[in-house]
Amino acid sequence: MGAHTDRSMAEGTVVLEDVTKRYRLGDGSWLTAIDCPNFVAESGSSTALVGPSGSGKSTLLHLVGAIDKPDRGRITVGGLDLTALNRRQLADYRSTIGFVFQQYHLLPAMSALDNVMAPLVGRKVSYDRKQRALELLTSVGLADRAHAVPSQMSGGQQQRVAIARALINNPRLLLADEPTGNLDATTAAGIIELLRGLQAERGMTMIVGTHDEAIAKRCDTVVPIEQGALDADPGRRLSSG
Amino acid sequence: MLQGLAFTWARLRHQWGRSAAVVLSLAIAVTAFVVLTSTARESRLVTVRTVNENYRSAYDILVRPKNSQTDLERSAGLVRPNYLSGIFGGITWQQLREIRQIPGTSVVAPIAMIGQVLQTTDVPVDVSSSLGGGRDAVGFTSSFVSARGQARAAGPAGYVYVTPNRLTWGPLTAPSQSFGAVERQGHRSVTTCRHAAPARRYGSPFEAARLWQVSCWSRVSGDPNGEWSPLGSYRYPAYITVSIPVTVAAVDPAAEAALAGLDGAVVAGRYLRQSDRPERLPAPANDSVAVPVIASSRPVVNERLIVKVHELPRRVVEAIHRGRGPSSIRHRMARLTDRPVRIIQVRAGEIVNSWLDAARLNAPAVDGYWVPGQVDYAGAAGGVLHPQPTRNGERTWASNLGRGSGGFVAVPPDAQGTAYRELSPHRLINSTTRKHGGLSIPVLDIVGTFDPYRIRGFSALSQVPLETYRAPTATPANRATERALGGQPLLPNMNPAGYLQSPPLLLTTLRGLRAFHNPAAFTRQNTPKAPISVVRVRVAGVTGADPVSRERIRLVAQRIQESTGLHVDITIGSSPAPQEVRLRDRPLGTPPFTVVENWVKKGVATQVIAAIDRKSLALFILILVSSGLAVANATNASVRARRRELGVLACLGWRRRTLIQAVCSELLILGLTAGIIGSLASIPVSHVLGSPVGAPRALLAVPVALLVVFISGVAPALWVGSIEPIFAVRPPGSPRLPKIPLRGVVAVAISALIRTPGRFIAAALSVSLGIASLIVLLSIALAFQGDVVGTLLGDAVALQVRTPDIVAGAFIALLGIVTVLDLIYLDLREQAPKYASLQATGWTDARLMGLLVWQAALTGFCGALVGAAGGIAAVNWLVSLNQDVIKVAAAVAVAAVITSAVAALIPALAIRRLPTARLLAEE
Repeated sequence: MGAHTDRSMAEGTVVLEDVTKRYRLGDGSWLTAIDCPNFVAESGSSTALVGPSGSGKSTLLHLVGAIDKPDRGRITVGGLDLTALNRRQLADYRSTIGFVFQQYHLLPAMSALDNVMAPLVGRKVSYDRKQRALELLTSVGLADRAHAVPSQMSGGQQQRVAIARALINNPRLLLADEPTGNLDATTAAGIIELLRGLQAERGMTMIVGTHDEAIAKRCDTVVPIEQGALDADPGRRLSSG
Repeated sequence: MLQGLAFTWARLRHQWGRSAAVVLSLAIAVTAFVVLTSTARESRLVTVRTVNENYRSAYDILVRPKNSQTDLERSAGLVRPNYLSGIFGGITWQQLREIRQIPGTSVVAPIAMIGQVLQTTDVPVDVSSSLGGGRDAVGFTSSFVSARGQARAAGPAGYVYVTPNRLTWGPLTAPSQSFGAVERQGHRSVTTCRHAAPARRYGSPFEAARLWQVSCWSRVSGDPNGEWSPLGSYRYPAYITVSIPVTVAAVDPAAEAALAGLDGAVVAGRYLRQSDRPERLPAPANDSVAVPVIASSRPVVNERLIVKVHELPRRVVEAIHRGRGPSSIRHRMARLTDRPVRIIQVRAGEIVNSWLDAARLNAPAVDGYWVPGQVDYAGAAGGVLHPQPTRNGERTWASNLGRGSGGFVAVPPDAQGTAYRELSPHRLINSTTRKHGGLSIPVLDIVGTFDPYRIRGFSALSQVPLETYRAPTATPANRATERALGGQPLLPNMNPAGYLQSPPLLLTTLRGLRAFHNPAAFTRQNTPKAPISVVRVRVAGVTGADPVSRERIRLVAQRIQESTGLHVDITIGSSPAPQEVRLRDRPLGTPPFTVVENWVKKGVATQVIAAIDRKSLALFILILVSSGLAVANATNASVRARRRELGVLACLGWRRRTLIQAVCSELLILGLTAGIIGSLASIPVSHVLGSPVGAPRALLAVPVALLVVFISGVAPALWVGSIEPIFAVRPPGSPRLPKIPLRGVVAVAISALIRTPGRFIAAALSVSLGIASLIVLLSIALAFQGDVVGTLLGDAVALQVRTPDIVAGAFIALLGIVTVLDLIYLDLREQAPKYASLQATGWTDARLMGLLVWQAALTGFCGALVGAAGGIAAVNWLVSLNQDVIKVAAAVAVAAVITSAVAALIPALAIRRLPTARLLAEE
């Protein structure tokens, strides 16, 4: 891993400065997905980005997760300027964070265990991969489904596997995009509890994109987002009660 | 690393169907490659063996006088079959010595054509059975029929008179009067059987009066000399004098023995010795020199003497009896109707053999010889050649031998026919006018007889002209000629200036030449310094068509050319090249003949090997490219179908290298598996196809499979390298395409195809490659034949290489069709929800299948269009384009479209098994 993408640098605060992201539509017009003059997520905190579908939550998470690039502006994670990284450094950065997708995006050919270990392929680690993967599956309550393939699991189980996969690298930043969007209320609640517990246990920074106020309430900070624009008073802390 | 492999293996196992399809198609491709290349290699070996076996001809190099080559020979790399008949000298003794001194030659065999010696023989034709008792006479007319009965030249006419009285020769009463036998009739003697006046000068050598021949016999004492004919006592033949052109040539006995085994072909007497030379005969014949010659036992003349015997009215018999003059009798006979009582045929071969028999007993003198020139042609190679007639005036046949000859030598009646060669007469100098020393009339001393059929044989496929021993053959080229010639070849007749010339009947030594090139004996001696016509050379150390042997020959040929300045042709590796020739002998009444002569195309063996090497290489490349494209299409589609999955892996932090490694390791595993299967399969398959491959060659399938996946993996690998994490979450954007109104199945099919333009283009390209390959293969086959067409060796070789061509072409086309099927399969698999939606909206299975079939047909059509255009362009570039190629291209293209559509039914049937409900639910 390069000096700039050192784990210590990935820790800490997420800062977006004057970040914009636009998409060209089929009719040739432009859609501003994100227009964010300033956004900060403190290290070890949990932040909920709340807004309706198409408000820009996913885009912002993709930008922070280095899945997409901003058209303009600067994104720093633990002091690491993502906009200044090359392709390889970005890949290394992604391997240090965890990302949970709404669609789970498990590899259909792999067992739950293999899916959890997938981020470690091609990387040197000091611990036993399999042991760690099993521990994570145990922690998400799927120890007995380690060898099941995604098609043999329910949506909630698949999302738990996805969470375990996001944690295999012991990330300091966890990004979750509508992690309960495809789940029923009970399962969703279980997933949120799990995420919140793990975040608290590991001291990770967590940013969750959701349109569900109930989920948002479980986070330290709620940031409303609409049509790509974040609330002018970011960092509004909601009552946990 | 191990985890990466486990990851790859798990993926392959998960999508075993797709993996199996790729492995299967690759295994088929590499099996086909191994088997087809083995077959093609086997075929090449057979071809090269055929070429090598037929490489060596009688001689390697033909040396001719400068400028003796015709324009056609020069422009088309040909050697005419009758080159020898037209070259009488042109190479000097010094040049022959220089050739002999050139290192690297093993045999240097010169031939000096001397010319045609006209010899006469009296052919006895028995008419006894047509004669009555007592005093009687029968008339006869004769003709010489050649060209399988189509050419007819008038021969001598006359009568046979038989009397019970004795006959003696009567004294000439005056030089200007006719002469004849004196018959004792009671108390008086009457000169019967009057011959023409010997002193008369005829207007033409073919004048009827000159050809008037009379035979008179006494029933008690035979002819006026009191002798009986060779047919026996009391037989009364008509003697018909026939003039025979006898071609004489001089050879080096030792060289000829080494070149063609002539010494081994001697069937009677002895072979020529190096020391044989003209020897002056003892007195009283000391004005003559004996020239030792050997004679051919098989004169090649296709001719018959037809004698019609006519019954004569009594008044004509009485007129003969009363001693009426020859013109009177001829006049009376001319008024008779042509109702022969008998027709007698005598073959020319018998006539020549009869002359030879007589010549062995009494060496015949040579009173002149005629040197024919070369034939001039009009026409071009590939077309029909028209030999140009020429004219030899009456003076050609003039005699130097005074009044007794009637002004002309005895000329073969066929000489009235069309002359294709100018004749240069070399007449014996009249003893009364000679200016030089004593006369030296050559007499032909036949010391032995050789059978040309015993000359050492060489392959018919690489035969070069051996005019010394064999007549050039001219076979019918069309139906009319075949009918006219009765399906038989045209052979030379006895026309000294005719197109086809008989091989030399008599061979002497080079020393024997001096008897003919003696200015004290013959007129117009202008070639004594350059008497050699051609030199045939065999080169030492030639083992086959290998480069070393070829270089040896080339070097010797170059040295000969440089040191002598003569015209040099490398004839080794040549093959007879049929050439059409149109002949017409109007004076003798033949219809136009179109015949085929075996001209000799030089360098055919080298061309054949070069052509087959080119073809094999092209074949291998095409098979490899086609296999590679089919596999590349499959792997590319397979990899691109995982766009989202790879994007997810990128999201998880996989580096580009890791992604590429994952895809490549998959391909390597597939390639290795396909290679092993291909190795195992190629052994039994090759046995079935009759060209078994061994284990080492079968193992070639493994590296070939790996090579194919390596090449076919380049595009997917490059694509994987461009994978972005965003692909995981964002669907691929559709290309900007023109909007098609979806009014029917065809429009929906077009829309489906342009949805995945890359895949559609790849499939169409695969089809087009298959079609273009087939067309190019055909063009190569045509070009291959074009390179060597018209040569017997080329035709033999062309037959040997056709099967692998067809198999390879069919296989490449099949790969194209398989790629189309893959396109349909992938579309069905990826667009299953769309088809489920269509089913849900009321589309029937048949209509959906039609949609898939239309996609295949449209892909096939586009591929066919491009392939046919590309193939035709390639043909046009490689060889000349012709209508046949365009027809073939059209047929192949149409077949490809139909096959694509029909084959698409196989994946289309899966529509019936579509789990509509589940797909819709998932959607």
